[in-house]
Amino acid sequence: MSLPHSSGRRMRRLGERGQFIPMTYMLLFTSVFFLVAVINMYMVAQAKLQAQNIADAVALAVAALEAKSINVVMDRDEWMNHMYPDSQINKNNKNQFPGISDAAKHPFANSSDNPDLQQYAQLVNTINMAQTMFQAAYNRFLGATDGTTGQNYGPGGLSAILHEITALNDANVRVMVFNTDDGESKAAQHQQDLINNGKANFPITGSDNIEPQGMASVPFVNEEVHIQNQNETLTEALYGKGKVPPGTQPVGWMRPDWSGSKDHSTLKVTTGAGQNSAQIGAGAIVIKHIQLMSPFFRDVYLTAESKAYVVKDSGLSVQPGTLRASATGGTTGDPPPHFFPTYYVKLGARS
Amino acid sequence: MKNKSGQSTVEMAFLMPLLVMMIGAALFILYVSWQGIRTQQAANLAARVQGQERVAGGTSIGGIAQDNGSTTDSTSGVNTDVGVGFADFNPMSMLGAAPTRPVAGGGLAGKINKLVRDLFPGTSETEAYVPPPVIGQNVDTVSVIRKITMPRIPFLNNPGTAPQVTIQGTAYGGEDTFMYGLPRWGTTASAADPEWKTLVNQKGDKD
Repeated sequence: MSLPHSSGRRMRRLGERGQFIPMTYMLLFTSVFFLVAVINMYMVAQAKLQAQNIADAVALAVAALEAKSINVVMDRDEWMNHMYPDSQINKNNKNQFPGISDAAKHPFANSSDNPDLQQYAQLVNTINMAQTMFQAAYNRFLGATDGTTGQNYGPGGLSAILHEITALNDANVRVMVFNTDDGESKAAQHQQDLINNGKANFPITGSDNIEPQGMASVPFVNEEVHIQNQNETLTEALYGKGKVPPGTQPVGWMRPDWSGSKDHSTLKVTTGAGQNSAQIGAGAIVIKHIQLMSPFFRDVYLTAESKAYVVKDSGLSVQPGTLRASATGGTTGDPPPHFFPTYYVKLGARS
Repeated sequence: MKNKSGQSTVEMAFLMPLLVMMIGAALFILYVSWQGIRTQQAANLAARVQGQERVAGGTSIGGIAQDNGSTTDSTSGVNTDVGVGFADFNPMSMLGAAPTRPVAGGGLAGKINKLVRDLFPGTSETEAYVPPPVIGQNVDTVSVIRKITMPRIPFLNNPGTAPQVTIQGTAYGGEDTFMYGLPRWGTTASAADPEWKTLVNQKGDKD
């Protein structure tokens, strides 16, 4: 008779005695669970923010390099307008070399006089060659696939440009850089491939984690100058009428080609609300790999994309209102009285 | 009955402080995580401002250097954007060197500091601030520091000795330090006085 009573009392006492401890354990377990969730969320949010900043910085840095390339080339255009001190320039003096902006209407003397048109054409051609060399050097840094291979070409060149972004030293970060629509498609596809086979691609070892995708040269137009009183172009003045070798680069001045008339040379960027248009610019896709405190979803790949563009109105490369279709395709225009090599870059809006 | 309730109370008395401390720690970690994300957000924003203004602002080289916190007005530290000539500007000094932080809230560095402080209302100058950015050749590095004082634990630490947790958010901006290094053939604010003439004249004076 006493056993059931005693046993029931012990059971009741055991149950009552352990009430607080199991509840505490449950609370602790729940707290730890939520704490791990919070830390994971923090890691994901932090990594996503870092990836976005890296993408922004890479896109802006590469676009800035393109802007610098345009500025350097156009600065040589403007240099041709300052061959004499401003106070000594006499636009009606036929014995003085004109600025390139005034060359078309300059009263050049006959070729028997000195300085003659051919000498002027030689001088302009020399400056054009320097401009072409600058273009090639910048394109090589960009990793433009239509450039000449050599030192600093491709990923190596981009690494040199982007080495100050120390976050790129992280073996769990990979970046794809592009400056054309074609390159953007390739980068998006490559991003998917890398993530699909993530464990094999992260962390990256033994190779560069900066990958150019479909990089093209910064598009420039070589403008011909038609000397009106001699009825010939500077190219013809240099080589002789009817003796210009086929494929010769026109002698004159250079400007960036904003029209996108050269195949695959521009990138569509959203520059304002809903304005998605072809621009000279660059983009970057970043993949950042992190490992979560979770047995189920351990490897997470965060991506971010950004595009930047050279602001067309931040400099002046052609006389406004003179752009027209060229007889040889693309566009042509008149030089402005002064070139403004002051181009800078902006981030594109999220599309 | 006394015995039963007494046991439960004793258990609670032993475990409750532990539980409260653990919940407190969890809440602190939650707060630090949240502040960590906010700090990174602030760094991203500061880097964007730094980058954009370096390439899109400034009317003179001296003004740009001053705006970037590379030089300051020795009297007030406030950017006046005038009176700083080319001779005062040494681009090489900007390479990798930490520029002088403006004394007051002037210029770009002051603007970034104010922006960051506004993102963390109620914090002092030592709790949320932007150290001088690392000026690179192509890209600058901007950091935001957030210091959080841990709550004082009764009987464990003395007043004023509570440890601080330092959170740092780092972001990248400042896309082209030398975009302004090109001579400006065009006219400046004074149409009669092109920038290139000023630069050439000043260079002549130095030589």
